[in-house]
Order: sequence, then structure tokens, then C-alpha cells
Amino acid sequence: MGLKNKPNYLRWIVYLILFIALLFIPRILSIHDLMLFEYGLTFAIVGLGFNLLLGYTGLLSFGHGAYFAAGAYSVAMIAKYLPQAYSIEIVIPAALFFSLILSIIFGFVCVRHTKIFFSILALSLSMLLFALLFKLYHITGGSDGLRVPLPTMFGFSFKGIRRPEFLSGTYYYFLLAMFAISFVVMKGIVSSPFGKALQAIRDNEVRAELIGIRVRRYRLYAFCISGMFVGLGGALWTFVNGHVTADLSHWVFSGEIVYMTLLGGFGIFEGPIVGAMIFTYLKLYAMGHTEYWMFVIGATLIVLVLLLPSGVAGAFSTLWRRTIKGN
Amino acid sequence: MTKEVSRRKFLKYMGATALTAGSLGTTSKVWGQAKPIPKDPIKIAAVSFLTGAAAAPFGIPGDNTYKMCADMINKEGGILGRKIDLQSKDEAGGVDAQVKLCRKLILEDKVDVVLGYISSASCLAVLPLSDELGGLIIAYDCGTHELMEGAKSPFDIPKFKLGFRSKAHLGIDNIALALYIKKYYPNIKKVAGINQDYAWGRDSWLIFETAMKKLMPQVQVVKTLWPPLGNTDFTAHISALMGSEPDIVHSSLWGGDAVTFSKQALGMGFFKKIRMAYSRGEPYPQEVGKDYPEGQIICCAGTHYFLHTPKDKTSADLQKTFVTEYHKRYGKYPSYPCYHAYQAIYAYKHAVEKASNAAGGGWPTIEAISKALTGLSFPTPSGILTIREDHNGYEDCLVGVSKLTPKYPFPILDKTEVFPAAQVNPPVGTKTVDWINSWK
Repeated sequence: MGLKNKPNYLRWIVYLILFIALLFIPRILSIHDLMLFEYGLTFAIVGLGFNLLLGYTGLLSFGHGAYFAAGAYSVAMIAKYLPQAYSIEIVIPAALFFSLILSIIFGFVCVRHTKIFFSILALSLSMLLFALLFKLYHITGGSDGLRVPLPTMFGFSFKGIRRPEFLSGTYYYFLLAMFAISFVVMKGIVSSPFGKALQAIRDNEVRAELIGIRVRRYRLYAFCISGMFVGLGGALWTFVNGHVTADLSHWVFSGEIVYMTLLGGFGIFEGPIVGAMIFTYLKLYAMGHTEYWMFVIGATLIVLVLLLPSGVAGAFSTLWRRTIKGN
Repeated sequence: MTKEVSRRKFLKYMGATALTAGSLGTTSKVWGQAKPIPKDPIKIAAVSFLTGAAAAPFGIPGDNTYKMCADMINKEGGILGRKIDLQSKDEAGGVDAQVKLCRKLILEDKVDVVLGYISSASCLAVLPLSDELGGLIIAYDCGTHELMEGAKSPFDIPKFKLGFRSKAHLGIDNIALALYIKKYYPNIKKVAGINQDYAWGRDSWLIFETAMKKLMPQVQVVKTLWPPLGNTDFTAHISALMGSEPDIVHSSLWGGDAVTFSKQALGMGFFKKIRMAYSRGEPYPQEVGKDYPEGQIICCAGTHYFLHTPKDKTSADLQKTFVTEYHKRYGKYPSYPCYHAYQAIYAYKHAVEKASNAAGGGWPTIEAISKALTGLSFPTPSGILTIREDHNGYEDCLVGVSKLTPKYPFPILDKTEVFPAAQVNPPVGTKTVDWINSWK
């Protein structure tokens, strides 16, 4: 027992050091890189949520853009229709609530199936939301989307402040705090008996059922928690991006969430975080440097699948273990 | 030829701006302290769809024009002696990718100006970045009337200090179509609409329908159809339209959808009884060729038509050079996105020169360039373009009817009519729909 606890203890020290280092990021990075880093952080939260399904429950969803959109549109719709309630302490719980509702409805249908059937169902349902956001254009702005102004934050208004200043100041620390909370909560979930039950379902559904785990219900729980994390990521992302469009619920966007999780490695808890960061930079720099950026993204995926099936973080962790063993 | 025209134009502007500045008498205060002209090239980012459905009809022609214009300007010595370093970027990848890309272009790559955007969604998401990041952005092809308009008339202008659009919005296409129908087909009784089911289609129909109700209240709307974007089978829509027997069908279909619809409708005998009125149909006769039906009403999103001769002599000369040069390079006649690209890059050139002159030489500050862009009026291949105080382009609009002639392998426009800018653009500070509703 004592032996087992030691590396965990070390691990948390490393997390703490990294967290403290992240506090100093605004002093190190340029404003542009900082804004990009914030995109990465929001997607890291999304990745954590997504991986609860993929990595821990064994369900590959091609429709997680829907919950991202639920979070993002909760913020944008409140900004448009209830401007008096447009403060961050109201919109974040609202985003969590709406993404929870949506994931309960969609999850109820999806978790009845696994494998490809689950993926396709999740994809179709997210496209249903896409169609609604796209077509109810008088309400949602359709393909043009909605502009998201700066919110008030705990009674403090940011009027007259430019978005980059807002993002490099208070908001960064808020985002970092939300990320840290998400990280700890998710770590707690996957290490809890509930998390272990999910992993049991992933590894052998029949055996899990036989030992008394209510498989479908546990999958639904995982689906809802996952949806809420992705919704939270979506809500936090809106302030960084400043504009939401129906594309967020499109399967292409959901595909990006899958991509970044694969890129980082879904077999490792921290994998999606690493993947989210790399993907944010990869896509932008590919777009900024060549017209054939889609080729770069596609080629990276092929290389990844063939050479690094466990993702970048997975490869590092294997390398690390080998080095230690070698020593 | 090109060189001569541009020098004349340049001298004319020198004179005009010197006079204005002189009469104001507050040169340095208003126009800021210009810095010495840097030696390095001007970085211009041109963002258009280079992949996806909007690439072939708009993005590639637009991007080609940017490249051609940059070469032409560089050959003439650049802008105030600085050569243009043009960087083409792709507009695909979603709106969030465009926000990130634009931030990178302005903050990291430190481009002097971002010219771009075909999609209205990109424009709506990106233009606010101009003031947020302190970078100049000129939107060149997106159509939404909401871009520069406020929530209610009258609204405050300009919406963005450093954000511009060097063209008019989709209002002019649809208003001009309605005016054309009233003038040439006063006896029609029924109209219908087929527009793609997203913001572009909905907005286009809204403005056309509002204008028609005011101009021809006796005309009945018998059918409005909303096929999805990227539809490949229009047969059901075509049958439904034929069943409702309209005289004219309004449409803002674009790209592959416009071509597919036209081909399928031709096969079903649609054009024997019904006439289409396309709000942005200008590129498609050339795309489709001889099969393109005759007698269709086509709007050119301004006066952007390769056979149009602007009244103004300088513009007419520019049009000749532009059409010849574009055809020589790319083997096609320029379509309306090409003219839009020309307007954006030359708006920047003229504004820099105007601001520099007003400040008494040197390279102007970004605020001075923005000030020069406001109210700027300059000759383009499709006529004089003005950028108003609301930072939106102010253009005439040309409508005609397709007709085959022996001279071209595709139908050209006959019975052309140019509607003056004042007739098709809402006044500054008024929302388009409110303006149409106020018509007497």
C-alpha cells in the first residue's frame, strides 16, 4: 500500500509545480500566444470530458460538438436575450445545466448501443442540434452565428476594455482555476469506485454486468458527466473566441475533439490535455503557413495512427518507463 | 497602358488630397505624425476560401485577382515606393479558426492590412478584431447587411474604427432586382423564391420580398422554397415551382447549387414558362456555357461585369486593362469576386497615398489610413467606388438579361440597366429593411 501511494504523491507534487508554473504564463507569453494557450486550456477541459467516455468507458462519440455548442450557445443566448443576467457566475452554471439536460436526452438514446452504433447515433443527434441551430436563424443567427460580448464578472464590468486585455488579465486566472477544478474533479472521478466501474465496463461489458454493475445506467452517468465537461469547455471558449456559430455542433468539429484526444493519447489521463494544446497550435500554424493545411492535419493523423497509436503523451510515458527500467 | 492610367490617377489624387488638406489647415493634428517610409515590403494578408464549395466560384478568382493586382502595383513601384508582399490564406476551417488566424496575422505576423473574407460568418466574427487588436481589416466579398448595421435605426456609425468593407452589402442586389422587375416586367402577377436555407438565402429573400411588396404590391408570392446548402437534386423543387406557376422566381443560389439548379431546370423545361432572377448570378453563364438559358434576369453584385463600360473615363480605362490582363493570365473573364478583390487592395493603396499626402509625406499611421478610407472615393474597373462614413462600400448596381451572341461561347447580359447607388443603398445609419419600409 505504502509503495503504491508513493508515486501518486510524487505525481501530485508535479501537478502542483505545473499549476504554479501556469500562473506565470501571462508574464512569459506574448498576448497572441496567451490567447492561443487559452484556446488550448478550454479544449483541455473538453478533452478531459471526452476522454471519460473514450478512454475510460470505451465509447467513441462523434457528436461531442453538440455539448460544446450547448455550452457555447447558453452563453451567447443569455448575452443576447437576457443581457441583465449576463455575468460569468450565472452563465457558467447555466451552460453546465443546459449541457447536462442535452446530454441526458441524447445520452439516454446513445448508451443503449456501443461501438460504431454508438458513434453514429451520437453523430446523428449532434447533427440534429446543428440543423436546429442552423435553421432557427432568427433566434440563433444560423450560419452567421452570434457575437459574444465581454461578461461581467462577480459584479465587475469590463466595459471599455478590449478583449485581449480581458483575456490576458482576470479571465486567464479564472480559466486556469476552472481548468484546475475540472482536472481535480475528473481525476477524482476516474480514481473513484465509479471510475473503476466504468473501466470494468470498458474492458468487459458482460463481466461487469455479472458482478452487478448496472452497465447502461453507468454509461449514461459517464455520458452526462462527459457532456457537462465539454459544455463547460464550450462556455469558457466563447469568451476567448468572441463569436459562436452553428458549426460547433457539426460532426467536423466533433471530429476535431476526437482528433485532439487521439493526438495526445486516450490511454493516459493527461493525454487529451497535451493533445488539445498541440492541436490548437498545429492547426493554426498549418493554416498560417500553407494553403494545404488540411493535408498537414491529415498526414499528421496517419503518422499518428501508424507510429504513435498511444498518442504523443502515450509515447512519452512509454519512453519514460523504458528509460527508468533501463537505468 | 496600365502605367499611364495609374500615374494620371495618382497625380489627380495628389492634387485632390493636397487641396483638401490645405483647406482644412490642420494637417498634422488630424492626420498624425507620419513616420519615414520603411524600406521593407508591405505585408498584406489576403484571406479567401481556397478549399471547399466557395473556393471555385469566389475564393480562387478573388485570390487570383489579389495576386494580379499586387503584381501590377509592384510593377508600378509599389505603394509609396514599398513593394507588396502578398500572403494568401485559406478561409476554410471554421469561424474559430479564422478568429485565431486573424489574431495571428495582426499580432504575430504584424501584417499591415488583412484583406479578405467571403463568408458573412467570417466577417461578423473577424471585423470586431480590428478594434480589439488595433489592426486594419478590409472585408472584400461578404454580403450580410448586418455587418455594419446596428440593432435599431438610427444606429451609431462607424461600428468598427479600423474595420471596413470595400463593397456594398447584399441589399443592393435584391433591391436592384426588384427595381428591374418593376421596370421591365410591370405586368407580372406572381413571384416565387428558391433560396438556400441559411442566413444568406434568408436575408436575400427578406430584402427582395420587402422591396417587391413596396414596389409592386399587386404581385403575389406563390411559393418560397428553402433547399439546403450543397443540394444536388433540385427536381422536387423545380416541380413545385412549376406547379405554382410564377412569372418570375427569385434566387440567391451560388456556386455548384446555382449551376446544378440551372442544368436540372433546363432538362425539365422550366425556362419555357418561368424566368429566374438571380441576385448574384453573374459568374454562372460563363461557368455553364452555351447551355445557360437565355432570358434570365441576372444581377452583378454591383456593376461588376466584364462588358460594362463605366461612365467615368479613368474607370473605363481601368476596366479595359483589368479585363484584358485577367483574361490573359487566367483564361477567363473576371467575375464579380475579382472586382471585389480589386476594390479592397486598391482601397488600401489609395487610402495610404491619401493619408500620406495629407500628413505631408512619410508612411501614415493606421489611424490616418483609417481616416483616409472613410469617405474615400476612387475609380475602379466597375466605376467610382465610395466608402462611406459607416465604413461600408457605396456602389451602383447592374442588372441585365442573359442572351446568346455569336461573339462569346456563353450568354452575355442584354438590356442592362445600372441603378444608381442612391437608389439601392440605404442612407447612412438606417437599417436596410427599415429604409425599404419607409419608401413612399
